[in-house]
Amino acid sequence: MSQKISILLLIVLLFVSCTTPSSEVNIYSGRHYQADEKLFREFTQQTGIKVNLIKADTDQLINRIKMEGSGSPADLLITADAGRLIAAREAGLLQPMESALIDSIVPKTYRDPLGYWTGLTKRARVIVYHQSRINPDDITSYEDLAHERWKGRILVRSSQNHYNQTLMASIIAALGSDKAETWASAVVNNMARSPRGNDRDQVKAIVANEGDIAIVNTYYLGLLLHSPNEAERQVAHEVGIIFPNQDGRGTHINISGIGLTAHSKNKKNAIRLVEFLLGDYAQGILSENNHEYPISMGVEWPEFLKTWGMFIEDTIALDRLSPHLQESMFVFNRAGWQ
Amino acid sequence: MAVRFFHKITKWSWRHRRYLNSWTTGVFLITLLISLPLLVISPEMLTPGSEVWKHMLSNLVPVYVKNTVVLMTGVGILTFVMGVGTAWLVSMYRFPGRNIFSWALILPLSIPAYISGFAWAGFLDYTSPLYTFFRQHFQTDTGAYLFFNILSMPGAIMVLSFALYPYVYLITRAYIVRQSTMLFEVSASLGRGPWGTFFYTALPLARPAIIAGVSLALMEVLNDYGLVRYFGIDTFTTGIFAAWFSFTDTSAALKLSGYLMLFVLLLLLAERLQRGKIRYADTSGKYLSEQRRTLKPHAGLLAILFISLPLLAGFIIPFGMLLYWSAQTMELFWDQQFWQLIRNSLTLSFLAASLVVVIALLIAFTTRTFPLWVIRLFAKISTLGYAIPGAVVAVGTMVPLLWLDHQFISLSLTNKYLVTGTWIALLYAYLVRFMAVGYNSIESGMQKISISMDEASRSLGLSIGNTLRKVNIPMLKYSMVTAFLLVFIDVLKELPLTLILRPFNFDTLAIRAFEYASDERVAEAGPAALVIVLTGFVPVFLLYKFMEKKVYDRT
Repeated sequence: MSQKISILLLIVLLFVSCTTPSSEVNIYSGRHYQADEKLFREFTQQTGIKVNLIKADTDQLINRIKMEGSGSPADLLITADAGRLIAAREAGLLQPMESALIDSIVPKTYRDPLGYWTGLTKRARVIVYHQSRINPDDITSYEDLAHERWKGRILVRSSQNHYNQTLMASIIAALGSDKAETWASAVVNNMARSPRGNDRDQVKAIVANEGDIAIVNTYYLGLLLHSPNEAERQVAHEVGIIFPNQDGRGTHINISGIGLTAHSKNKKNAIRLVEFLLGDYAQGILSENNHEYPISMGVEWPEFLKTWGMFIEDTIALDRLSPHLQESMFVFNRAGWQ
Repeated sequence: MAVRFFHKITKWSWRHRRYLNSWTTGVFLITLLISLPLLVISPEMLTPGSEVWKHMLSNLVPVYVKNTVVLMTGVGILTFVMGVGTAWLVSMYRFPGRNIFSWALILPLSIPAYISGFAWAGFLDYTSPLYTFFRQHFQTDTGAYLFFNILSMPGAIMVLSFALYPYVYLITRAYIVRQSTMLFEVSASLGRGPWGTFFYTALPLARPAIIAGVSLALMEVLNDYGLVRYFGIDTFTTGIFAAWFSFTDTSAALKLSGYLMLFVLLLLLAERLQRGKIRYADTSGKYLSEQRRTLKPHAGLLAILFISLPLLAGFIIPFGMLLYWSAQTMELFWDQQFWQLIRNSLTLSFLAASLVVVIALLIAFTTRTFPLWVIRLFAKISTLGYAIPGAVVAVGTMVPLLWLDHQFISLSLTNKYLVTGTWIALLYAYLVRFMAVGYNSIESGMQKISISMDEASRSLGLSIGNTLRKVNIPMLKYSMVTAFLLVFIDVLKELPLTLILRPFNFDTLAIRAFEYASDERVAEAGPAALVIVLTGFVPVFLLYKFMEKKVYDRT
């Protein structure tokens, strides 16, 4: 009996070792875009390094890495939110990449100071308004959303959304948690409806006259503008964009980013892939296909991003939001932001 | 202390020695294996609460509980009315379109509930074809809500009920089909009309099936995350995710999951207790379905109307939206390697459904033959995986699998994980997840077989195994087919477990649909969702033909 088992195990082991190519890199990704996979294929063609991919919910991927511990097959973690990368680093799941190339391409604001993670692309969390009902000069900052003039007119999604949590962390960093809570309570009072739906639905609700202004991620506006549904494209054309806080700290920016896992077994390949993704060619593909801002300064923006114009970005380094991320949930809850 | 405990165990074992055999031991080990992922997360309930836990308990949990109870009550009532009503009409009467309805009523099951939610929201939102039509042809400003706001509690109850009633329909129908006519003849001869017979005879008789179906629907409500989150309703499950990921407090999340399981277990046990010693078996060989009555025209019309509503709201409208979206995103049909995805999905569904049916059959048969409370309790616990979010089940299954992998590594057999992140891990997780679906279908079917049949078989010299094979299985065919079908379709559209536990570079149809939907690109999710429905269509149709044929064969 035990002989049979050991033969069986031997076969399994042989099978496993045969199917493992010598050069590969394993990615757990919270981004689900075809453009990413196209780039991975090209990376394989150029370098001969095979890219293995699991795409899933970011939080659960982080949890999987945590549970797998030292045996985790993952080399790289890709997320669509800076907060998740910070959380992964704090949980001890990442290690520094130590690449001078990465440091030279990515501005300090958008990478971990020790190289645990770096941004790949940028998205701005902006204010969207109805072009004929609202004078954009009436609202120039996130803080203005607290004004009672907007009572019953603000649309925004749930506080469980990562983009809202990271935005709140940036507001706590700028104003302190007491003022942030006062602000959040005022915004809750001004809401046109209790939070529901996704970012796109907030924009549609403006045009449907359920409210007048909404807090939205630029990425989703890009999606609306390029929607296969004509009615959705029309909706996107009826609203205007305000980049908040241009006279002060600048507009809140979130990143899609990538980090090297603590127990990576293909470290060299992994760093090589990160450098490839930050190169001009890959950056161009990402921003053209995914409606995101390139993180690399030298890369030209796609046309529709240019039409929204240049703007000042929040100068706080994203890794400094770390102490405020969990706090943002407490603030949201105390303010009654569902 | 330990010695006394050991002594007690041996005494107990000695007293129950006729129950100690390969059946009970084997099934006990299987149920233990299936319960293991649920048991490993429960001890968190006993740990003291953190700051986050206290914050949630006072600020959030009351809202979660209230919303969850309202949602469960609404869905419970609606799935009961629609599921039992349609099952009764289709089984008892003849009316135009009955044959089509009898299998079409299952179809809503093939659309993932959260996709139904997106489809309904898309059907009733500002940029929907309906609203655009109204604006263009009536020159009216539709505003936000032409009819009513679907992103609300009533909206969620409606969409979930129309998506989940087929559980009640299928299980109740498999039960009614094999209901003896005798009791109904008695009921009629005692002066009850068709309504009286339905309410006072059929409903109480079908209780095990109805409970089995409704509890599946309600467990599905409890584990849903995608739909309630999109609809802006904070339920217990959204609370688990908030604790886990927004507050990054895993312990609080597991605590909430533990209480959720305890709640469901108590409900299930309470129902059992209330049912008491009532038995539902019958022994006559004449079945109701063999003599369907033709309905009078106006009654037939009413029946058609009653059946059309769930079909329209649960299937035709969401399916129509999927078609509409797919038409806009046609090009995606060609570059997504759909054949590969279909093959992956079908293989997983087939393996998982077969596994669940065989094991559920073993468990149900063994608890029936050897009514030991330990095994019964574990049988119930092993079904709880259906009531908690898939992501939590995933964590639970990873604990024993990683332990196993670490044993392999420490024995120097390998240097990497052999089980975690493979098909084996996925199938194990499906077993934990979908045991309720298989067990509820088969166990409710077994209730109809009188235990004296088994005893007769045994006294005539058949072994226990042969009794199962020659007596029980032939009579359980409908329930087994129902169980297989339900699990098959459930795995076909399964998302959270596949998503997080799958091997590298492995996609299914449900995952492809989710990738777009989670990115707020519902139209692009259309083609993949459409292919899920069409893939589910084939087994639904084939298996249903099989069931119908069996009924007619006998007449």
